[in-house]
Amino acid sequence: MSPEVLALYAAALGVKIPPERAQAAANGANAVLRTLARRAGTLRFESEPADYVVEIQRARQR
Amino acid sequence: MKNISQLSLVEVADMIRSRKLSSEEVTRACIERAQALQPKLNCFIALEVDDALAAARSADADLAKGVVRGPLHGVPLAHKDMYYRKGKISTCGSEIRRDWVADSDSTALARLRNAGAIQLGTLNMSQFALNPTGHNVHMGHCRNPWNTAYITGGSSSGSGASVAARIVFGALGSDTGGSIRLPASNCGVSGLRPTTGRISRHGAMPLSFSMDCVGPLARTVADCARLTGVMAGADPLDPTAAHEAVPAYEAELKAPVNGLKIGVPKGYFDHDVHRDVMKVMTECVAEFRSLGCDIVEVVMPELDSISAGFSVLMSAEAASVHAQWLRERPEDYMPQIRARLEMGIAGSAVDYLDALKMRGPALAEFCGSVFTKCDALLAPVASMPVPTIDETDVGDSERMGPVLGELTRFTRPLSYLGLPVLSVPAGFAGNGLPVGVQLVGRPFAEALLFRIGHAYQQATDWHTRAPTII
Repeated sequence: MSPEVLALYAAALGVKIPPERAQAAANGANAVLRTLARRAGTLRFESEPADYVVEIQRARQR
Repeated sequence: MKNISQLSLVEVADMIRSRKLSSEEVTRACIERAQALQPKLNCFIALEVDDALAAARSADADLAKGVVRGPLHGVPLAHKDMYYRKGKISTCGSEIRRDWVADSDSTALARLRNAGAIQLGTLNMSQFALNPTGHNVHMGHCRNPWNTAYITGGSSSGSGASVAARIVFGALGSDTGGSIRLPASNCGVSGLRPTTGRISRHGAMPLSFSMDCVGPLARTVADCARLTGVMAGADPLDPTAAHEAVPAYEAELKAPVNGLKIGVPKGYFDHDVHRDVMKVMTECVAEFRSLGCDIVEVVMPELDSISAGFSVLMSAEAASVHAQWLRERPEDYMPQIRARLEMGIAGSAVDYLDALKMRGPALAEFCGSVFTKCDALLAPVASMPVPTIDETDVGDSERMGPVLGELTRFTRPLSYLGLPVLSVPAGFAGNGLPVGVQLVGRPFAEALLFRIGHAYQQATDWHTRAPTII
């Protein structure tokens, strides 16, 4: 997300983020989001958040 | 006989119960120590002298009538100032909630109280639990009792400092990304991040719904086992609290550990680790070997994306929790806290859901890679010795990301996976500050972690070392 879009999106939420802060926030977030996207891109089509609950039980019972 | 302040929680509870000590004399001793050390450590936000003494006298009166309330009868504790008590202020370490009065009771606190515990006061913490160092300009920085120029770690800063300074016998912390383990490690005490859901979060300040955990810090693993046993279990007031049966943690402490497989990580947890921390790890591994454990090398799965998943979940959920105050009172946040919350706005709903969807497969992969090879994984809590307050006073500068990221590099991924992790003191770095290690288990394997940690503390004396601050 670009800093300009972040600032606009925040403004839509009613949160004011000045440009220099928006730049820092976007930089920090984008690095993390890129790393996440690499892994998320490998998820199977049917994945959903509830898979975690299933895996907790499976891991516990092994 | 040991001085009162040198006793563990289990020891002092047993002595009160057998009336070798009164709760009132124990509580007075804690209050005197708290008052003497507060100017140096700033670990309390509020010290509740009159209420604590009244509760101690009531506990003594009950004992005189043969009434034992529970396994914590008459034991003074204090807690991170984010656990609500109806009618009492809970600042959450913030200016925004400096005078906020809670309208309900935290389930964890209620269970401690029902087990007989006395609350000595509320403890300092990072603002809204969102900082791993313990810096807090509104409440004043909490200081490490081993050397007051150094950080306690956060966000449960006062919990780590007060237990390490032998002011209280145990304290509640909370752990979203390492907030129990870091202060425990930095201050030389034991601390448990339980399996997510093991202890009810009702009445605890939220930060990140998916990963927040309530847990204890105490002087020994056995103390943590007692506190966890009191608090764990289902709670109708918290639908996310697990319904799993609560084992008799203390009864299982003495089971043998020989033959258990302790995993030593190859990858991630051994990258860019300071030599002092590596030395502690090496000695710790040798100790487990001498206890009869099998030491096995375990190749770590890819954890950078797991760590990213943590960051996306936490920042989005925290931004949601704080959205109204970000709109209405942004100037009342510390700049660093505000900057971290603003990052949460940058992720989309799709990013957030990707981070949630990824947790199941990531947990399956981690458990498949790790717990098919070992019973528990042993890793450092942090990659470096405890830094100073000045070194980590980075505010919202460009150094914020790298410095905070490095401090939590070894704790974040385990939080995302929701696994139970026990932090125990394991030595000292060259700067004289404690170094902790973390034992990681399968979901709901707290009993096994306690057993392993207790065996380690029976063979070593790191947990008995106390700072000479008075």
